[in-house]
Amino acid sequence: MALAPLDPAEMGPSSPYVSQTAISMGVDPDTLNGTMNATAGPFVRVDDPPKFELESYIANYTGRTRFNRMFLIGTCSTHLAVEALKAAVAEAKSGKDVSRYERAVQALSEIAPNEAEAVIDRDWAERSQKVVKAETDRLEHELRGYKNNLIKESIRMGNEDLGQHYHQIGDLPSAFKAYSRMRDFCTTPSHIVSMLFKIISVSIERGDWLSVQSHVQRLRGQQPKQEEQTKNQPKMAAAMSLSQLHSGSYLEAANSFLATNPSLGDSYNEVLSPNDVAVYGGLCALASMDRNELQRRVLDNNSFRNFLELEPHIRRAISFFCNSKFRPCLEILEAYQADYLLDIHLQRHIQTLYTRIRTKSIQQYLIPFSRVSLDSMAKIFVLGTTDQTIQTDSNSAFVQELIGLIQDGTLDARIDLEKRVLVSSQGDKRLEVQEAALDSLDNYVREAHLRLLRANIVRAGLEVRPLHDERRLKIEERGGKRSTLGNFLSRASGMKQQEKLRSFE
Amino acid sequence: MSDFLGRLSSVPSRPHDPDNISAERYDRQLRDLISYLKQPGVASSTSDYSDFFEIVSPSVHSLSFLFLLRFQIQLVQKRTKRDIPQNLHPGGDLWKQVVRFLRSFDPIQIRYAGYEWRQLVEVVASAAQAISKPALAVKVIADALGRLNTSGMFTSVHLTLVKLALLSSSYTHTLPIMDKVLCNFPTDTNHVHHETFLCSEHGSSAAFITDTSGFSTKLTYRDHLQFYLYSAMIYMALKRWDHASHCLSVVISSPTANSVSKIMVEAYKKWVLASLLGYGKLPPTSRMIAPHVTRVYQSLARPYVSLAEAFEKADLQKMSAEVDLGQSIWRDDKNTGLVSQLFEAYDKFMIIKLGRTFSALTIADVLQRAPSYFKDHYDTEEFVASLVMSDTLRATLSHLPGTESTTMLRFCLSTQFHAFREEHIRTRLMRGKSALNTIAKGIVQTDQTLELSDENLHFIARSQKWNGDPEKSGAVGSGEAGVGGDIDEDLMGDGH
Repeated sequence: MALAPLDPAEMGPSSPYVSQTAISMGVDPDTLNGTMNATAGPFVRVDDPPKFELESYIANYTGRTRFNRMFLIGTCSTHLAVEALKAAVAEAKSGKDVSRYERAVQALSEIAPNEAEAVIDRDWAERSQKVVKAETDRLEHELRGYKNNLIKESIRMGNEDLGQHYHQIGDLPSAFKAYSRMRDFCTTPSHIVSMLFKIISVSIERGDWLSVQSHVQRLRGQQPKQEEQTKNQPKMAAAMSLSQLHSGSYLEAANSFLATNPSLGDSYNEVLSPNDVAVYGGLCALASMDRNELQRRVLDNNSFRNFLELEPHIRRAISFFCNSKFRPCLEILEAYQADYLLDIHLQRHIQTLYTRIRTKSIQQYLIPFSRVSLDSMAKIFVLGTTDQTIQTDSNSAFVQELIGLIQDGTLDARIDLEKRVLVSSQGDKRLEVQEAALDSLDNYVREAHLRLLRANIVRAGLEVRPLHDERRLKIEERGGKRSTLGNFLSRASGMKQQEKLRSFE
Repeated sequence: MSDFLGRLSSVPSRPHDPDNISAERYDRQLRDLISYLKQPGVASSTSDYSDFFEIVSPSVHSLSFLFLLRFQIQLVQKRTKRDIPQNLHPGGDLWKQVVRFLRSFDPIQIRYAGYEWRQLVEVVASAAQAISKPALAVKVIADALGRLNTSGMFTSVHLTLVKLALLSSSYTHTLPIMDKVLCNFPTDTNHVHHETFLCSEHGSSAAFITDTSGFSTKLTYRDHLQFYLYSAMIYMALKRWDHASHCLSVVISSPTANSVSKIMVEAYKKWVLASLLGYGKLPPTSRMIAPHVTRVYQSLARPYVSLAEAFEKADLQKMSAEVDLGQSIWRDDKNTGLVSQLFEAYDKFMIIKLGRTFSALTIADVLQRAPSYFKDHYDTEEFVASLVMSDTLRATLSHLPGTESTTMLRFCLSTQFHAFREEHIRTRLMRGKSALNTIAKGIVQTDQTLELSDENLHFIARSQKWNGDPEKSGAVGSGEAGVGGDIDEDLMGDGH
């Protein structure tokens, strides 16, 4: 989505996260698009300088995610574009994936056509392609040989090699298929575990979060030895929480992040670093938990503290929130927004997370007040300016935000534009209950009447029926009438009455 | 002559009867009287009945009086060779007697002459229409229906009444009849009430208003649909939107067998408009409406549905466009009046909605936040003032000190109207209670009759056969039916 390249020709299977568009589970792509892309075209454009150093940041990661992260930074940040793309080109050239080398070079040539790296190295590309082709053929040939010999272990390893190869050259669907084929040939539990981890890592890169979830569940179903379990748990929790983050269920994501064992360390660097766990977990928790829960489950959580120590500002923001100091909390988040917008996993969610945190702050802030002046609220929640007088004008963004929150029912309060205060609604509960009871009584009477009438209509045979049915009935009825009843009102006058009514209708 | 008079006054109404005779004897007496009055010779025994009107009291000897009126009307009709003779016109002497009778008859006696009673009512209706003053008949018929007390039974007279009321725009007289909950239709219930007499005390009117009693013509589905549609139109004319939309939902949710009546479609159109005017939104339709019926509504009432969408989305521009676009449609459906009220209702609901967001704001803000049909500041202020005065909006208007032109609209909290609300809640409770009572009675009664209906008995009998052993299942069946022994006998008879 936000990451999708402009050129449709490049939407090949190798472009990472492209499939997010199709498989973004539960997240409404429209709203995300709306918030993310309101300012700049199809890409997120970050103009503020981020707080991190590119080199030390990228050093936290290993494997293919390095390139993906650098490429994202290069295409989104105006400050780090050249530096990041150059690094990306170098990274791609050190691997076997030709298509991403081409993408990186093209992106660089759009921004800085004069750089030496902006020209594609045809020699290298062709050579690599040939090497890759030969390697693919060799591995597939070998696999065929193993299959003929019917040795399970060999077939498994052949598939594994092939999957690894496809993964390295960026053919993710083929890698996924190759790894999945290993399944039938796994003989020991540890084989199954390693296969599942490989599938998960491919799925994460593809952005196929549903498959991540299902495979993590499958991992949980395995019953490995104790030490294996402790080794695998942090990775499983991290993968699970990533997929929950991407499916937009922030509370579940926060829970999974909080449950991640600090022994994760640098062991999962091909996906995310411990710093990421702290940031993602902290933000998800801030957005989805109330103050007590934050205090109890995040700040007093001994194992998660290890992560939080890596990102002290997240810890500060959470403790500010717990102490009801909303302005410092929001200021910290604001200051780090650029960083998070350049994060490969957070980019799509940061806007939603921030809005939720902000809304929650406003709600929390209002709890003790029965009426609070708009000015004092603006002092806390309007960031980035010092001139408070303009901020509480009835058309200012802040008041509009409040109006929106009241109208969608988030805030139970009303605005007094004369005295410039926000009045919390102290509805008379007794009256409300009475009203509700009376309404439900009315509704019941109506509904019961409708149903009773219906039953009686059917019993009396008065359903609406097709015309010919009715005509037949009428003839019977007329015949019956003539025989039994006298007729002292002539039919003519009755007809006249009918005529009149028809004209009235 | 005196013999005739003697027969006429032989059976007084029960409250006027000195010796308290049994229901059985009273029933026989009344039946005797009827058969005497229906003899072909009786009518011709005298030439003019007008003298009897002064002697026979309509409240004590209602049956006799009714037949006297009947004879007299037939006589005059024969003499003048006209359906509605001169002295039957409102103001004529015969009309006066008819009205006197309809206002004071004894409802018990009349149970024996439902057919004659209904024809008299219809004469009144056509007489009033004959001189183009249907309003004169409305009150009379409404009173007569009220006296008869059909207790929830629908008759064709109800339909006649609302038709007349609509023709004459005299709505309020019909309200006592329309506000009663109707839930029954005359059916063949002979086998249920075979031991009781017409004159005895009945819990329900189903005992004396049946498909053969003559109080109603043979009904078709059109009759009740029309009745509820016309009732709704009357309520709409009185701006009682909740009643109107309830009546209309009766029509649109009425049971169908593979086809939809045009009346139902018209009702759906009106229901859309009435809901918008009354609630400012389209409530969900009843779940009883079959899906194919809903589809028919949706396709035939498309302009109305899209108008309602624009209204609900608070899209004023689209709404005006829809209204302009559909001018001819509204005109053809005779809904122009309702549509033209939409704008005012729209403004009203917008301002009420503002009250949920703001506790105070200036009229200028109102104008800005609720883009309204009124363009002008003063118009808006006037409109808001009228809403406040009519009690639709709980708010106060105040001029800010110094600036005459700025008016502040302050919405009041609900608690500030405490005394008023207590009273309001009391009336609503009372109304709810009586409605609930009627409904509950109707449910019990319908439940009973359905349980004793042929279909149910057949069903029970059949399910017993399936069970195999007739001895054993007999016990189960009687337990299921849960009623007296006579049913058990029936079942056994059926089973063997």
